[in-house]
Amino acid sequence: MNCDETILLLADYESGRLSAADMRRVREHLDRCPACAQELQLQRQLDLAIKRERRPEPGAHVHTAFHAWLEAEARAMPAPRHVAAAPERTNIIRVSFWNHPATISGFVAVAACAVFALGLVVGSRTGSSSGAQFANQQNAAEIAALREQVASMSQAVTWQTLQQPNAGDRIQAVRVMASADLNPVDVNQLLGLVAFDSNSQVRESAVQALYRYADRPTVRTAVARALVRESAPVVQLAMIDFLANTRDPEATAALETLVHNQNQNPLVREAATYALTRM
Amino acid sequence: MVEALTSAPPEAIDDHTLMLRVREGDIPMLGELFQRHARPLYGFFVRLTGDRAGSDDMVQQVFHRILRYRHTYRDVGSFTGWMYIIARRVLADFQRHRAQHQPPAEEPALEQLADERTHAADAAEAGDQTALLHRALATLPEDVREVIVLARFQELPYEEVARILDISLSAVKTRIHRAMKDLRAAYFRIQEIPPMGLPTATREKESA
Ligand SMILES: [Zn+2]
Repeated sequence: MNCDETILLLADYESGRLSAADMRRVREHLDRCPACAQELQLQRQLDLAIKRERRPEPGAHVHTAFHAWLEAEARAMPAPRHVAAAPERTNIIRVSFWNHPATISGFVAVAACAVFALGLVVGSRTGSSSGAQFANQQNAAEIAALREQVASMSQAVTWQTLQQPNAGDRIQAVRVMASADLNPVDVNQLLGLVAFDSNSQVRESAVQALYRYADRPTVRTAVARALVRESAPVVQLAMIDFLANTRDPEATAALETLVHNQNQNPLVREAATYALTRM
Repeated sequence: MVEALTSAPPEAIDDHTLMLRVREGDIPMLGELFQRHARPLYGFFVRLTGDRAGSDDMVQQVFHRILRYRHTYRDVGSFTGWMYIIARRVLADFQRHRAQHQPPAEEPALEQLADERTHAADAAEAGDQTALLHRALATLPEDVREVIVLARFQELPYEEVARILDISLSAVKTRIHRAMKDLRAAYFRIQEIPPMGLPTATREKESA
């Protein structure tokens, strides 16, 4: 065994991850090679430092917040939820903007309708105990602020919140929506974001907010169509997860498109392949 | 199999079975998984970002997503590997979010390196080897840091690391070797110790 081979095996030698034969070969080399023996010394110092590392501990509030959230979730979902297996989908309710190239104006119109509903939803939740559902500490304060803001704002101003150039603001708005029981207009609003928002994080948040509506054929179809156009792997993965439980024919077609596209991110293709095996 | 274990206390049930039960709608079982994994998960985030508040938040986000995506949990495979795949996505989101909200954040982190020795000297004086180690870790490129954190700090088996990073087993091994070498160099450089050289003045004050 030469120096190059030995050095490559040193870390594994130290942690005992080598076969008995390799252990012996490395040891033999070390006995007669001062350079590699020195290398091993350095390796040991580092291993020791790693072993003595003070293990980082999360803040105490993380526990409290988690359990409050879990309790709220368990209460909200008393029984296992199954995604409908039967293909109950119909084509009657097609959100108009899916069919138009001039989609943005359609989206804006839908968004405008949705704003008032959002204001109501959000407003009605202000001051309730729904805070427990937002275990997300970093955003809890911002969300509370947004809620307050939204509750007190006029319809037009609320609409502006959802049209903010700042993606962070739009994400907050989506998160507020994610915690509410949405009416069809709100759901369409989220679908609009999934398909057209310029920011991938907003799109991903919107996909996640739609998870509770995955049993609706219109929602599945819309997400499947958006998936075909989506280029950000993070959003693609969220959409694939989302579609993984549906047996929607349109979803299958969208997933197959991804699987067969050599230019797609390998992780995305793998996820799509896996999703297809379940459909 | 799940049925047979229903009467067992959660602590006596393995991760995979717990997750299957969560998937079937037994939501409170997620509490036991949190108990077991929140700390290592936090370690993963904090070692990669150095951001404690952000890591607190990301730990919770991972569990939120585990619940939300529970239907996609596979019958075969390990819970830990799946959890880290989710954790990496949460991390990617976090970093993108941070970049958007404070665009120059990346630059100071690098600028900071010039200043590092002063900090390192302080840390060494305080006998804080962990701080030095984390500082050394922070100098490595992200992908290198990730493999080292998973394989060495979190002590996950290489096969698991390969699955999580979606690379081959041999790629994991080569990467770890390179990563350890880089970390070592950074660690000694930060302490102002030439490899195999004599400790410098700052080192002599070390208490541990
Ligand atoms: Zn040698």
